[in-house]
Amino acid sequence: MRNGAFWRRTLWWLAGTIFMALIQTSWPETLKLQETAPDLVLVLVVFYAMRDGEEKAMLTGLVGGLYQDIAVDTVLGHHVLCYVCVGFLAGTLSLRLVTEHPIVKAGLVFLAGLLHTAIFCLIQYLQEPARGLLVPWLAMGIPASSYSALMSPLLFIVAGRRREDYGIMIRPRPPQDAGR
Amino acid sequence: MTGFLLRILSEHRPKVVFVVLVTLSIVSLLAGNQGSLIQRGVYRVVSAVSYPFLLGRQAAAGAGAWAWGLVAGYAELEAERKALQEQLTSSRAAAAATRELEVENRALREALRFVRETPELVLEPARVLERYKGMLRIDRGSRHGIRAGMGVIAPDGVVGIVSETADFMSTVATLHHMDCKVGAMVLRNRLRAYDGVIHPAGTDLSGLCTMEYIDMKEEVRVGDLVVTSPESVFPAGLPIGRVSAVNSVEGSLYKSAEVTVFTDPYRLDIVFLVRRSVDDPAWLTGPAQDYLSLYEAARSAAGEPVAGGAPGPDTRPLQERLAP
Repeated sequence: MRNGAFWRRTLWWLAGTIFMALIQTSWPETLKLQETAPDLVLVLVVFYAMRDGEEKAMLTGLVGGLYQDIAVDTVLGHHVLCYVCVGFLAGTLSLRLVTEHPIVKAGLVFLAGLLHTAIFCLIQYLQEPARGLLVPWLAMGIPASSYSALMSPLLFIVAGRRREDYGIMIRPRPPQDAGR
Repeated sequence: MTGFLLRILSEHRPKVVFVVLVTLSIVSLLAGNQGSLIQRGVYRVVSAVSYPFLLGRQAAAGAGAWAWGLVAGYAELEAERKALQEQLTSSRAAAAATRELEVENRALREALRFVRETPELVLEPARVLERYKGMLRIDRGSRHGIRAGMGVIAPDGVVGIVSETADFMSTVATLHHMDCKVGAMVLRNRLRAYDGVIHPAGTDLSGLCTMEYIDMKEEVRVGDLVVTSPESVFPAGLPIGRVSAVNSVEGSLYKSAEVTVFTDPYRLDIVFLVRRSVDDPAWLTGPAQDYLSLYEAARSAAGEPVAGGAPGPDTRPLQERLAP
């Protein structure tokens, strides 16, 4: 049986994820800098991957991806697949992080962004090979990932300001990982 | 078997979730039909969940636009106010310039009328450059044929006398300056003082002249018109001022009259130098009755008060005039 705190946290998580996706799809022009917009949902996925693990990150990617698929009218699963993969890998990788330095987190976001755009461009390439793969990835992935990485400290602070959280902490290692 | 499966699933739940989600996504991507039943269902669910957020976003956008409108509107209004203020300032300056031109035009028309109405005088117009303590500096000098001692007049009457000349400008001592003395007489009875002149009475701002050494037996009234006499450097009959007070001391042989002059040197922009004049013989010998009437009628028509009623020169016999 789940207690009230669980549902409250879940509601906050759902609201935060939808809110980020909403900002991403509603005000892209406002967020753009030199025609490059940050991926707020991606930052949130990495945030939950570092704090709560890959399962929460994948669910965040599921919700945010579904919303974006609906909002931008792409084939259902396009964004979801990207975010789920990123969430899983970021969650797995965050187990190996031994530091909370903001630059490390930003670097993780940058790598996640590169991975996300790579998968995104790959799916796009499979759907429409004429678009190409490498050039769109480099043209879109590196600037967007850099911008997302730059935004990540701010978003991490905002997302970690809930009363239950005391800053952004890397989740404690499970007992079976302690000996690695 | 089921327990083992559940234990495996529980231990590797993240991986299972990952596989499930990836599989579903790939299936959905491979299916690719955006109008499918699943897509419509997901669309409905996502729409229902995101509807409050969309409402909130719309409200926030509206509030933001409203707040920005306040700021931007204030800035626009401020800019508009500044622009209108500048426009008002320039309009006021233009209106002032127009008024100034109107006044100048009126003065020039008056000067032109004065020149036309005095064909017996050859006048040289001059612009006033400076006014200081009853002195005027005008833009005509010896190069223009101006000499010291020339009379200076205006449409209102006598202004003064040229006291100094330079090449291109001259100085005029007006009736507000102590250096100016003008031969004058009372128009009504051609009465002159013993010295035959009037001179400024006090400060340059008082605008008063004094006609001194008037015989106690002579009749001078307040309101009498004082004009230039034939002995002066001016043509006879040019208006100077009006008697405003008569001062007499008991036991004295003479009395004096204060004359308020018509011209104000501080309001003049253009004056006329009298180059040459052809005096009317009537003014030299004494004005005829009808001439004086015409003159006073003209003053009356111009809205100026005329000396009260006693016309003509003093016709009393000499014995009666000089009798104690």
